[in-house]
Amino acid sequence: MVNTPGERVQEQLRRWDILAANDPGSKSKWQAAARLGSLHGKTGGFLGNRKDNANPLLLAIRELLDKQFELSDSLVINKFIYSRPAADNIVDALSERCDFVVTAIAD
Amino acid sequence: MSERHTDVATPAESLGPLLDSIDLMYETGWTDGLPVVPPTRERVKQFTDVLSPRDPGELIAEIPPLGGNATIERVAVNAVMAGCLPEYMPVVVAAIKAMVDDRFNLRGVQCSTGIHTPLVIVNGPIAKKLDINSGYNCFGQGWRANATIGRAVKLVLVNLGGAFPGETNKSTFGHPGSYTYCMAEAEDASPWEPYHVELGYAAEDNTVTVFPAEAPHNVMYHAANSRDFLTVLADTMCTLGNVQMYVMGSTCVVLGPEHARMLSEDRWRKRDIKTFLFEHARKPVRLLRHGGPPVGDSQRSHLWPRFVDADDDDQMVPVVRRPEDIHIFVAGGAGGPHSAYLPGWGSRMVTEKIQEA
Repeated sequence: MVNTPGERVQEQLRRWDILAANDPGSKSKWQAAARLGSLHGKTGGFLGNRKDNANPLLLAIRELLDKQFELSDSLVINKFIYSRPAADNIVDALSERCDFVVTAIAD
Repeated sequence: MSERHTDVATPAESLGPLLDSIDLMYETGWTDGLPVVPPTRERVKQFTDVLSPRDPGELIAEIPPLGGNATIERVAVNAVMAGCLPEYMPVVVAAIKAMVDDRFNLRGVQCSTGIHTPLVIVNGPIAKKLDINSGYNCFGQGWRANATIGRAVKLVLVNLGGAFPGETNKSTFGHPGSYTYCMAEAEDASPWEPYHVELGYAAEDNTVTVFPAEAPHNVMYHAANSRDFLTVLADTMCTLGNVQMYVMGSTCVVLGPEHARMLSEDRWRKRDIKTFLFEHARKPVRLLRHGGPPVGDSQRSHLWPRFVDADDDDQMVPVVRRPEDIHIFVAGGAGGPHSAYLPGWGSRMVTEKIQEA
């Protein structure tokens, strides 16, 4: 989230020559991927976080999606630890092989 | 009745615009809930000038999770808002730089459900120069440098990192240190070499150390037996609720001057203390199965030290993987039989040299 003040507040800030504490440009760094029209026949990625309750749920979701959308393939992969972002090689594998990715968070 | 000079603003009238601008800052969403100093261009320039000839547009770091660019100028804006003095800028900048070291795992620190928040510890002559408190109430209120340097760091993390509570910041509770959390080591009160010298820096170097810490846990010990004291401290460190028992990483002990002197007089060196704590701050696998992540969590076997057999109930698990993961500082007021234990969160403590212009 980027807190961007409304026009009225921004005008006031300009009037008092007050500088921004945030980086408005950071908003454009993160954009949701284009939505798929359908999951039918797609390859799904399932990124686990190694938490015991999260992974069974993730695998159950995979089964459900496979049954409903007849996925062509799926890739299940775990991060090293829940508190760190996935390693680059994992992100690369998911982005190269998968049409969509479901990520486990929390437990 | 006294005559009123209508051409001269009363104090209340002249404060009006200032108070209005403080209120305006609330409307930006850039405050931490407390009033901030409006970061006017003129005031911000005073802060960036401290680091001259460095370009105010110089990028210090991208702050996760949002990835906002923390340039010198944007850090200065947040430092002004926090109430810093311009001369605090080198410390704030060094702390920001230290936190994006991969070992610190700032993305995780910002987004976790845990209770930790970055603590800033200053070593070297700059601590006295800036009057950063290392004595009585060093984790508490009363010193501008402590209050505002720590606060500036937190404002940067929220305003440039986007870690807004309940959104990407999922901390279940947070703690009061989320407003500000900064102290200096009491190098004069320490019987040992200062922390940064222990790391290989020169005594005249200035450093900032960052660590995602829970609130300080008090360790009271009134008697005068070093081994008993360390046993009490070790017990405080290895509770079943301490996240470190399950995720390891660095951990932090702040010895009060009284305890430090007692240990030194009994010829305990820092490395002896670390070894003792590493060997005594332990819990058996059998008890740890009751706590932390769910029973059978596959994390345990690969985060605990290799010498621990996670299938053996009687094996003793230390609070950290290695003695050197226990970081010892000396701080606090004289005369109190207290020390403090600050659990971490699985990250490494990171130290950065402070670059003054």
